[in-house]
Amino acid sequence: METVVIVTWIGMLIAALMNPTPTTTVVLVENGKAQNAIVVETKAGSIVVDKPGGYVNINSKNEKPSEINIMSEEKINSKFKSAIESTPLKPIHVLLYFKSGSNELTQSSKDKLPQILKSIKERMPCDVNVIGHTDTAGSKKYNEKLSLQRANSVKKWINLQNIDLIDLKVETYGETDLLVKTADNVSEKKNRRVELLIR
Amino acid sequence: MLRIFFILFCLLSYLFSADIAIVKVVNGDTFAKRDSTMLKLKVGNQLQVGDTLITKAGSNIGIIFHDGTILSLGENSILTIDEFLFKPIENEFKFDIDMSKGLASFESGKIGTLSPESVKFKVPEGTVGIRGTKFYVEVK
Repeated sequence: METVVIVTWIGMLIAALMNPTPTTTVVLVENGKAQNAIVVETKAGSIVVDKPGGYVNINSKNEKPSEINIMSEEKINSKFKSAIESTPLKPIHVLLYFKSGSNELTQSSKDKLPQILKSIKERMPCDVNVIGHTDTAGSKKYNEKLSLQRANSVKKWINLQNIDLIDLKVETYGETDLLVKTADNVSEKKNRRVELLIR
Repeated sequence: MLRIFFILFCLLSYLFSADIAIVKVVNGDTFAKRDSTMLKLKVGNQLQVGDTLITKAGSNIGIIFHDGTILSLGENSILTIDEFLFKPIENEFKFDIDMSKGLASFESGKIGTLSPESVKFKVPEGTVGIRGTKFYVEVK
């Protein structure tokens, strides 16, 4: 099983005026994922914080980080308010699937388009990567061309929406980056796809 | 000969000026110090390795790195992007940030998933690292 480790944390308040050596506070924040931990380290030692709301202070390079204490959600939100306010929406990653040997989307992927458009608009000014893939049915050369046609058909759809993107990049992998590993010349619907990375 | 130098120069400047992050949110006066110039940041600007981000009082900024890491800075903050390398196909990763002042929110992206040991967030007194399950067990 793939181990997913995504760590969120919000940190750093330096009260230089109150203390001749700056004090740093690091707080671990809930990220909605199973794995969430940070290691706070100085020359004198390190400490693992793995409970959201847990925080440590560090007072100097030569001292260990403090014991872990818990900060209330209310306190976190007021202390780090100005950093929280400018946090951008998370980028999203979507897969669109295609009919065999074609650059036409499957019906269920067509149905996803309005939601994708909404996600792009929420993230304006937005930056989109369109990455085309195929399964291994047919020659390598044929699939290179087909993956480009698929990516271009998604690009064309985006261009028709009249949205002003910062950047729209097209990449193609042909049959070289399979989602489901198969032998050569195997038709596999999960490999006939375009990835969209919306930032 | 001159032509070869010119091509080399173009290649090098491309290699060393690659964009690594995009500015998504800006309120008030925020700047990037690049070499010896101060650039006033706007939404949509691209950032590079070596940039120092500076926010003034009442200002803040939010950026997204190419691996999907989300970083935002509150007011009166200073932070430098020391290293950023994201080449998943070659399995090459580097991510070093150095914060000297202020408030920040950091949510790691792909580098944090694929190579958590490559992520280092430096503060004046030490560093903050992120760990995968294996590393976490070892630390305990």
